[in-house]
Amino acid sequence: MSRPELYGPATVVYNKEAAAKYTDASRNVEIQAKLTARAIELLALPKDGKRKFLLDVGCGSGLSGEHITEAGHTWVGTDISEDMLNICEERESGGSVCRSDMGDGLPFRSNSFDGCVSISAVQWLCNADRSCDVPKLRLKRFFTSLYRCLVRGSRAVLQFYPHSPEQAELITTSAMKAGFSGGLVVDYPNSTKAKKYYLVLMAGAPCMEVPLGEGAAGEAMGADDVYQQGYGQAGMGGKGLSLGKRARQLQKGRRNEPEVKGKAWVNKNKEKRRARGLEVKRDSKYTARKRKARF
Amino acid sequence: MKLLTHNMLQCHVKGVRNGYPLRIEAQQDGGRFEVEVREAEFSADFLRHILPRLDWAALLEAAKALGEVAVGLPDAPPTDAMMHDDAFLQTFHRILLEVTVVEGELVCPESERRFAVKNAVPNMLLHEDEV
Repeated sequence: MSRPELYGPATVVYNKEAAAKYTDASRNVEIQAKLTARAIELLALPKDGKRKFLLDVGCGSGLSGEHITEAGHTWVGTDISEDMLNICEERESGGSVCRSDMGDGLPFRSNSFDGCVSISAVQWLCNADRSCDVPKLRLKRFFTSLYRCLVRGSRAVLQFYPHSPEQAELITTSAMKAGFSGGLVVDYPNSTKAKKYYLVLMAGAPCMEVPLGEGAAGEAMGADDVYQQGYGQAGMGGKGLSLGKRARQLQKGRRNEPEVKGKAWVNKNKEKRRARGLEVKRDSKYTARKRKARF
Repeated sequence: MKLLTHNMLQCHVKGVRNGYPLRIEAQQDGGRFEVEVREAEFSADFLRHILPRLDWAALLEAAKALGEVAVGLPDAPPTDAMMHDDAFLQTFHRILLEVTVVEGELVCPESERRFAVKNAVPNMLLHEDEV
């Protein structure tokens, strides 16, 4: 079965028998090992030798997870196939798994993981197995929830088998719309068999340490502060403004802006939409020009 | 399901605004509830690394729900000195990474939606109308 996603829903394709067969096939084990090793390499985790907390989306029977454990990291996996997960638990691959459909969004709290690895799973998102499934929405839910549950500045490496160039494009743009930066890495692009696609995504700007302001109390940073570190600015009393305060200040500033929405305003918004990758009409000399008072 | 995983899990049913923390209860049909201790590799560095990301109140509540196997956590998040105390780190490690919920149920605090835990795997799948 070269393309299992074309045969039906993952829960059906990977039933008890198929899941056991998949896990025992030495070829699968070997390929998964190679893919996982490469994915971890692309994650570019800081080389301090410290144990990191990773997410494995579509962990299946834990073949990829075993290598994450071997690489010295702790991981949590999700998959939709119950039989695959049961095998994963039996094999004691070192991780903790939960059953969920990635197209429904990931059931995790914000800022939970130091990185995400996914081996041969994302193409399943483009399937519409039930009448209520819309691939675009499933992709959107997956990527927005993935962005949310990653620590700012961390990476996600998703290896997948696109069915067509359009599908690869759809998956990549969905990721960009969710706020990720990064792109597609293609290994062995000139070989049809060994060619492998990795979507390497970065979640926000790297989290930098902000020095404490002079005279500020040197209290320990809590969990909430870690999130704000990336946004806080040096010299603002150490801890930086909270996001709520910041948003309010921005709004205040907006009140001072002129109410008339002229050409500059239109162009600014068009630029914003372009940056998000949305379809925008080209700029012309007619942009935001007033109509004549004919009537 | 380890308590570390439980600490990260939240209810993602559409419309639920605060589906955290999930309560750990016995299964409603049959009342099955099983907890095991499964060995995991100890790493003091990892515990220190993950501590700021944990919701301490949620961890404490989960440990209380598991009863005897998960005792020994302080009421407040551990201090720096405690995170360098070997005896405490061992207890912390056991509760966070070794104690495993094998059978039970997770309950969303807002919608009371129940997610079954079977064979140590919590089932977070949603129905069609919950997405």
